[in-house]
Amino acid sequence: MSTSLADFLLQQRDAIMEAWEAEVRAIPAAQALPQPALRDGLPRLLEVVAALMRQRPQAGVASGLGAIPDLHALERLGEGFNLRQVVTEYRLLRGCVLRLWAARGGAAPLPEEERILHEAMDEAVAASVSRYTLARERTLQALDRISTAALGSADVAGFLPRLLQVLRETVAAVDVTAVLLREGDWLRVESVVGDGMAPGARVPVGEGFVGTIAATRQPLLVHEASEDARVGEQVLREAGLRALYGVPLVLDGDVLGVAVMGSRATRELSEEDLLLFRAMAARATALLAQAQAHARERAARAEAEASLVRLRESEAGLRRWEEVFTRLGVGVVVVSVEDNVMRDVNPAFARMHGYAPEELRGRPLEDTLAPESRGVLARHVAAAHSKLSHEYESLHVRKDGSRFPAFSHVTTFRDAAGRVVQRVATVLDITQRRAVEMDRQRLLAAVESERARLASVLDQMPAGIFIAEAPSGRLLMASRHVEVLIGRPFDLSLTAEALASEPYRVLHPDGRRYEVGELQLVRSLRHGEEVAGEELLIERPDGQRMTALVSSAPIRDREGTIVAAVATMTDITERRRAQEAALQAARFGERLIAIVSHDLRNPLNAIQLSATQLLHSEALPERERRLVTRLARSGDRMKRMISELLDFTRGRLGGGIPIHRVPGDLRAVVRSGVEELEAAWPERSLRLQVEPGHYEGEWDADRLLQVVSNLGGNALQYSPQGATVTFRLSDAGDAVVLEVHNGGDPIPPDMLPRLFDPFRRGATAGHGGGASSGLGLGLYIVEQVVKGHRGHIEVTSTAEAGTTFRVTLPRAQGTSGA
Amino acid sequence: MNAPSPAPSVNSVLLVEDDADLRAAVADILEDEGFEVHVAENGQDALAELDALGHLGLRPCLVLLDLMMPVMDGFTFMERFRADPGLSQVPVVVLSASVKEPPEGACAMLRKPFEIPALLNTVADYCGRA
Repeated sequence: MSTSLADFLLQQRDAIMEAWEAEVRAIPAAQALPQPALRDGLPRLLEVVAALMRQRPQAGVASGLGAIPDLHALERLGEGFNLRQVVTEYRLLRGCVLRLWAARGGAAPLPEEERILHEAMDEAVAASVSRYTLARERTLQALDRISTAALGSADVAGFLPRLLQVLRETVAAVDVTAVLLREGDWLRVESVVGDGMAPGARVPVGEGFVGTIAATRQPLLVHEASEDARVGEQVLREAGLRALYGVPLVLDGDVLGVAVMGSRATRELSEEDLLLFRAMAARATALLAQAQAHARERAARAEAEASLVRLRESEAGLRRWEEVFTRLGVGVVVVSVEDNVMRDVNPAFARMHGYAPEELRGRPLEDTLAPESRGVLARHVAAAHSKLSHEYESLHVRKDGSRFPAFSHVTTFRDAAGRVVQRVATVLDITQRRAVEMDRQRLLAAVESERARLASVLDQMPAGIFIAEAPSGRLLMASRHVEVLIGRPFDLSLTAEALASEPYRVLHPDGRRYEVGELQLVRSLRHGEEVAGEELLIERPDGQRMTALVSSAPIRDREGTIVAAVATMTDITERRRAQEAALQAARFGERLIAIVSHDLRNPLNAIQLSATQLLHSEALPERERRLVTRLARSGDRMKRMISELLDFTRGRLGGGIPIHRVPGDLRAVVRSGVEELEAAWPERSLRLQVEPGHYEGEWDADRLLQVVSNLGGNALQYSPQGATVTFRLSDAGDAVVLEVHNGGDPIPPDMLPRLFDPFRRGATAGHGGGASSGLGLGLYIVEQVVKGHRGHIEVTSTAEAGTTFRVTLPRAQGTSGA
Repeated sequence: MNAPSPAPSVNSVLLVEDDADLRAAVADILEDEGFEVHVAENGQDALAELDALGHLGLRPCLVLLDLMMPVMDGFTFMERFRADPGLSQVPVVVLSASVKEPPEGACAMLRKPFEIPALLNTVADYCGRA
């Protein structure tokens, strides 16, 4: 079959390209290229060559190939092919065409067609070499300028404007260049040269012109930016741009940003400019990444340095803490949460327990606790975990088994999630404190028991006792008896002053109410007065009045300040009543005696007068005379009794027997008395012995006669029949002494102290006759008369010396007997 | 007492004593000695007796007066007696067991129980022997 090479090229174009592609893939830069990019303008080149073969041009084929080899060279330059590889592409293409022609088994091609094929291939190679070389040189120059620009720009902010400036200077048609950097889902205008975009403006990834480039990671070219729908950005649409080209800045698959260039002059940008822009963008990307890496590194270094500083600081802090931890007097233990093991202990903690620190580390915390305290440990741990800190006391055990009480303060440490990661406890040996506390407790208990004992003693006392404190006046205590006395519950919340007001009714003996300041307790509390035995009345709720004897005294501290006052209150109602009754009875008795003895005198006087009158009758027979004499003597005795009773009642009621002293000689009085006694006791021996001296003085003669008569009668009555009774009178200077002596049995010693009491009688019965009335008032009256003379009487009585009454009488009223 | 003051009789005595026995004993003794004894049981009686004697133109030489008496005691009697100028001249001797001082105007006092000699001596001091 006869066919031409031109037809063959057109018919077998795809087969030729397939064969070529299979061979060209061996070139490294070609391996990753997709088929359209790899084949590029070469299928078109084959069609152009076939057309040239049919036209048989006279002027050669060079101009017939057009821009295809130039563009292919620029593409290959942008795709990283070197010049040799580009030449190899054309050599392989020529080889494929000829090999497949020969393989179809036809005749050799027409010489004209074969010449045009070779000329076209040679021309394409030459054009590629030329274009490649030129473009490469320009690119290299631009990249060199970019690199120069990059040099000395440490940061992105300084580098980008220069990069854009170089770009604008290199591509004549470009009016605006800009770089947008990615910040998350946004692109921010980082740097702009020329008018049209505002630095800092932001565009979302995926929207508008630059957003689409960032999202698709593909360059994008539009020819009329203000009209093209793909340009969504208001600023770009209004910038008056026509051609607009943008490329993604991609490094290791990451979109760093988008570079854009635009022209107001033209709607077309040359392939070479686009290539150059892409190459610059690629280089810029690397530099940008490098700058960003630098920035990150600087930040990291700064961060590291800061960390280092912090670390150094924390190391210093840590060292301080370690020192504190080591030297602290308080025990510190760090416990791990999961197993309650002591991670660390300070020397104080170890010492406290009798261990070295290393002996305790790693052991269970329980080992430091006494067995009886271990049971509650879990509870304390739970308490510590439930809050920030927890405090408790427990019994710890030392290495030697001895125990000590300790106070623990547990602090929990948590992680960010709030889980407790460790516990730190400070432990204090509180043996001392506990001892002091126990001492204090003991002391308190002692004081309390002392107080209770005092209170119970006070309660037992039959007197009411109040204690009030100064200066408040508050009542500290009132013994139980107080309530008994006042007849109502006692309110201890009151002050001492309140006792003067309702419901308490404290009255003076005359029934007047007590004023506040008159209360004994208040006087002692406020003025330090000591009150002894004041009588007052207390009106009970039932209206009954109680008589109380109140004493009070202040209680002072060492400085003498009144700190309290105590008052005692004794119920003397009964005693007072009894006293009153006794007094009434005594008054009544004495009055009775006085009345009776007075009224007895009338009939007695009648008896005496009648008896005496009868005795005067001479016609009275002897027997009757004896009867009447006895009658008269009994009347006489009765007269003396009445006389003594009257003296006694006078002594009791009227403040003593009245004594009327007149000047005189005592010897006469005594002689007269002795003579009367001799007449009355004719059978007895009496003796009067008057010592030399003076016996003048002021005497009540009648009363002293009574003294001689009574003492003498007494001596005669209580001595044996044959015994002599001796009266002895002696001068004692200011006084005169009368002694009356008798022998015989002495007065029993137990009677001596009461010898002068009224109504007392000697044990021995009287021997008739004489002076004694028998009422036992004789010695009482003697003593009263002697006292009335301001004298005194004493008695000595022994078996050997007998009994002597000794009366000392001062001579004058003003002097007293020595 | 409107009657003219009579001259005192030398042996007339007014005895004022509420105790009947003593009154009788004293009256007997004085009468045995020859005195004319007028008796009264109390001060009021005594004043009436004196009044009656006055109407008869009699006046005792002495009044023996007990102090403690019912109806009118010796003290009241003395006040009334002294108030009468006709009577106030008559001496009064008080007979009493009382320790008190005799009322104003009394000349002497015989303390009960008194004895016959003391009685007779005292009466003799104010009256002539009968």
